[in-house]
Amino acid sequence: MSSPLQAFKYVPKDTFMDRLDPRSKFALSLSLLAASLASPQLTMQLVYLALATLLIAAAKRLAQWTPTLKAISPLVAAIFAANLIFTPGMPLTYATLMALRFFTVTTSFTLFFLTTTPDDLSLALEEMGVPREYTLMFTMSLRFVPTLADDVETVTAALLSRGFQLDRGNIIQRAKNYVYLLVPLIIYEVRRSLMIAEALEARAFGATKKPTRLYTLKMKKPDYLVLIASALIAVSPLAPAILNLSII
Amino acid sequence: MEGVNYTYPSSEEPVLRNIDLRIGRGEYILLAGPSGCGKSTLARILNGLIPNFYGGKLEGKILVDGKDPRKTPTYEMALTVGFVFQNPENQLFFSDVEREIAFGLENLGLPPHEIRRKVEDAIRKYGLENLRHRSPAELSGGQKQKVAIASVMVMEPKLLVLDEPTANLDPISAVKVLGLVKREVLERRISAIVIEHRVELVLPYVDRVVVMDRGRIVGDGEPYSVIQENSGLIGRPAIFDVYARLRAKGFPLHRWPRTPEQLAEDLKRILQG
Repeated sequence: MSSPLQAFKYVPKDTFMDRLDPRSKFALSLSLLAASLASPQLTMQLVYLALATLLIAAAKRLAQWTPTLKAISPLVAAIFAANLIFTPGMPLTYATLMALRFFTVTTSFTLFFLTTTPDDLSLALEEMGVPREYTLMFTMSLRFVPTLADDVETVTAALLSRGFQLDRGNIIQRAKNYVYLLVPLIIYEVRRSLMIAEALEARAFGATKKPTRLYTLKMKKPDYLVLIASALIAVSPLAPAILNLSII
Repeated sequence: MEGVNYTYPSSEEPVLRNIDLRIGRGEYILLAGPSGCGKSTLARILNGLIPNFYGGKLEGKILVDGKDPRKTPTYEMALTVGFVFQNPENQLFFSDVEREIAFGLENLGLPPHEIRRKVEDAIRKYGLENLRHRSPAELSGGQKQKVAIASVMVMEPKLLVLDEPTANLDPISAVKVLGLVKREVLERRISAIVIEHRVELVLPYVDRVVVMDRGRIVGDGEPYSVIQENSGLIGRPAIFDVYARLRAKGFPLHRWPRTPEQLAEDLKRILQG
């Protein structure tokens, strides 16, 4: 998987963050995002970013997070430059604010995806009332990524072994070459999806409107603490005003 | 099944013609025949995928454990007929073996503690303790098919249908998978039908062979004679020729060989007097 997507690949680890209920983790990420978007102050942005980074460190995922950071850096630089040029008044402060904000938003969501298994995520969605059809679609789309990658390899190998050169010609020619890869691949996947549908039927999919679950999510004490902390983070942009502090 | 005919919606010609088949409890049956002879179609009628999923024209009398698959939704048939498909990749939907096995039971709406108990039983029985939280990408072909069988058997069907379950497996994994089915047949007294091209792989386990050709059943009965009579269609294990030659030479062999090992054993006994 290429480096920017590293952020969404779950690698199992047993840390405080991993043990949290996905719902409280989601609340935490969301509150950081909301606070970052709401707060116009540089100091607060730094606090949020530091907090998100600390949490990633606590989850022992710093090494996985850095590639994402590198990948978004050019984008952040562009945001900074654009704001520097187009903002009237105090462009430097504003541009820094926007750049920091972007870092905070990505970091807080990376935190969620790095510490939550796709299965847990769909469990949480189901718990929130999303029907099984949709959560299963989500679980299966992730489950079949390696299978699809294998299929691409198979079709590519079949084309190459018959003398087809995928990377020949200029950009337009190359784009056209990929049609030869896509057509069989789509047919392949449509057939596969029919076979998957058959197998789903054979496992009594759709037998009851309300399927039960082997795992049920349960909020524990740390989850409630995290929820309280999230609530505090969410209202924190108001803090400087309430405390009547005039920090930038 | 009595007088069953079936025509696919996109075709004029029937793929099954006048099929009569009676399957008893505790039977382990090999269903063999050339590609396109209608084996998979026959198998899919048993759990109602045909005609419920495929459509087409299905005639004749069909009863599986008292249920007509045409009038019973496929998810209800899934309780009676377990179906294992050729490619294990397409029948595993989760990134976790435990959840995979639980899926069918969840769909039936069983209470979580009961699901847990049955999943644990299946994991122990199929020796999946160490693979419990693996994703399919981390499993070998044989392990995948084992998980697929476990996740079907956990629903406790009375009939297990396997459509070329070993086509993607190496011979050793294939024999293991077929052996697992034999164990279920013996322990739970279920019936099993396995579609398989490599006759010699199934031979140690099955007690009946059904041969199909161009939509008809052309042979049905005790393995040795059915395979001998239809070897032009389904091939014949080399060991049968050795057995026939030994008998022609006057060796008093009293049972046909299921495996080369068995023949060697019998021969040894004769030579040692």
